[in-house]
Amino acid sequence: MNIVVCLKQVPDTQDIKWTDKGTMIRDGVESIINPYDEFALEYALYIKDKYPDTQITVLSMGPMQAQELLKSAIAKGADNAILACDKKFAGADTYATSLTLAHVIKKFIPDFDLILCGQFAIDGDTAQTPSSLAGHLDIDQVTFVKKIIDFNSEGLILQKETEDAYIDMRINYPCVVSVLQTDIIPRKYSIKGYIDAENFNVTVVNSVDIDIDESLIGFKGSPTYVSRSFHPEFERNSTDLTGTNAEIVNDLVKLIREQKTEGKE
Amino acid sequence: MSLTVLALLNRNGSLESVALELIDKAKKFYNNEINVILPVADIDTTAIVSQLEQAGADKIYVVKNKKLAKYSTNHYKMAVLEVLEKINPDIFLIGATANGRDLAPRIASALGVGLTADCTELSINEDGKLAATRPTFGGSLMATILSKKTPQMATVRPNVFKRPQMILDNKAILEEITVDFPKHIDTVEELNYIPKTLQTSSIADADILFAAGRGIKTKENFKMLSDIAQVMGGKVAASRALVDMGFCSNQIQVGQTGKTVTPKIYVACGISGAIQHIEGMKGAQTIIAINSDKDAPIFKVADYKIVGDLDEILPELLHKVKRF
Repeated sequence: MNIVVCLKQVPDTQDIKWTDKGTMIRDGVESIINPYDEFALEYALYIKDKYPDTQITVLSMGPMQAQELLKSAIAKGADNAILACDKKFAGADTYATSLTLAHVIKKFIPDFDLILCGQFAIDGDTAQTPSSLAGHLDIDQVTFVKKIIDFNSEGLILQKETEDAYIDMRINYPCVVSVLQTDIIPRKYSIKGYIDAENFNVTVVNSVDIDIDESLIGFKGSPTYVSRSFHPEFERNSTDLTGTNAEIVNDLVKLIREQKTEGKE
Repeated sequence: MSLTVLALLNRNGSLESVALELIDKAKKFYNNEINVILPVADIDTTAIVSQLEQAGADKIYVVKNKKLAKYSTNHYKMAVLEVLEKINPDIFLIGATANGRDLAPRIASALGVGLTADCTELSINEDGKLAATRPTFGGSLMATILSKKTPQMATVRPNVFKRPQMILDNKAILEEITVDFPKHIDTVEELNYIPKTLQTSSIADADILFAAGRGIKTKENFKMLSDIAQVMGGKVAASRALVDMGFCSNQIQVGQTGKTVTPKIYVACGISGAIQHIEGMKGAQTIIAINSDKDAPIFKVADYKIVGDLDEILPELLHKVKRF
């Protein structure tokens, strides 16, 4: 089997601190692998556990530093790593990003069976890239996958989660599967894996390498653009509840009871 | 010139209410015709059509094929594209439900157009373009996004816009379109459909929500909060941080990647107040925030502030409400 796992480098949003004016303090914010992508990688490794001749290629688009996150995936057991890195890729929206990834895959991993992605990235949170990637490659997809139930050399049986149900589905390769956070715990890398990965050569590709027209990538190739950004204002006038804990709790319960019955006929 | 809304059905045959919210919102910012695409199997659509009419639809394209009885990415994509090609709308809006979010990027990539996800505000700018606003980049900012191509596509989560006022006498023009599909359209097959229990899917309807964030610290405290919620006739909810810590399922998550809620009372316990979270609860009538950090951003949106230690306040509160 031949699996591609898409990984995104994101700022650790748990770490983000804001100034009084509401701007982000970027200093000291660590970059991590998007947590949802960790689950995608774990599933690829889980398939490789059963079929050891499986080839896993981890793929990312981003700055040169993103090589580090690709190496951490190599340390865990991925076989190949490709970084799409080019100043011309910058400013891409989900359409241009997924089109770029599709070109990299067509050029360098044309005989893939399965593409695994995290459903969301914690920074952008659009959840659009996996479906859009499947669209550009014109292959089948199952999104919002909660678990991989079974798999063989033909395809997979997956459980998808929607608002009101869990749906078991079968899908054949080639396909895109995007995963939610699941019950499996992504493995840690071994010391040997880490040492091996240190010297691993990540394949870095640019726009020329993937034969993509400049008008289709980055900001230029993005059909959407940000026209304005602003800090949201939704402040309310607040009243402090103070005193001993017993007094606070008294006020709180009284408040909740009053508000609860307000407006009831 | 038209704005088109996609109307999808739930598995039980009822309409996803976000479609009505989108039609109503569109009425407020768009002056031309509001169309609806309704993909269905060969069923009686009278009741659904009248809901769409009463929300304000001007024209409804009912796309029929028995393969559309339940959602399938490829069948729905083909059906919707067929209508879009015919009516060529300026703007195309889709509800950000699990199926809507699965489908929208497929349609956008097939048409080669952009798609703005999870908008919290829609309007028309001075150039007559759709201005779609959403929280972005780590939640620090709101961004207003424009599209260079048409249709200008956007998705919106359920409950972001208000339930419409019904326009009882509004009638829409109906057009029925029968689509044909090739025999082998995809390899995806549904094997088993397991409905979720009602209990886990109802924070959006609760009058009182007691929501916990990372500051709740322990599972014992979270349990105590659930007990308090139960005694007071409310429900317990959580921030994304707590879901990520494995305390609870994302079914009760409030915020940009969870649910949007508008309860009468929202008690935020140990929630710092990232914008993604606030986006999901800012519509609550009364917001009470409890946090040990007096500078926590959640306090900015709170009607009532309590700076205090949940380890002490929760047992006291549980004790108090249990005595009633």
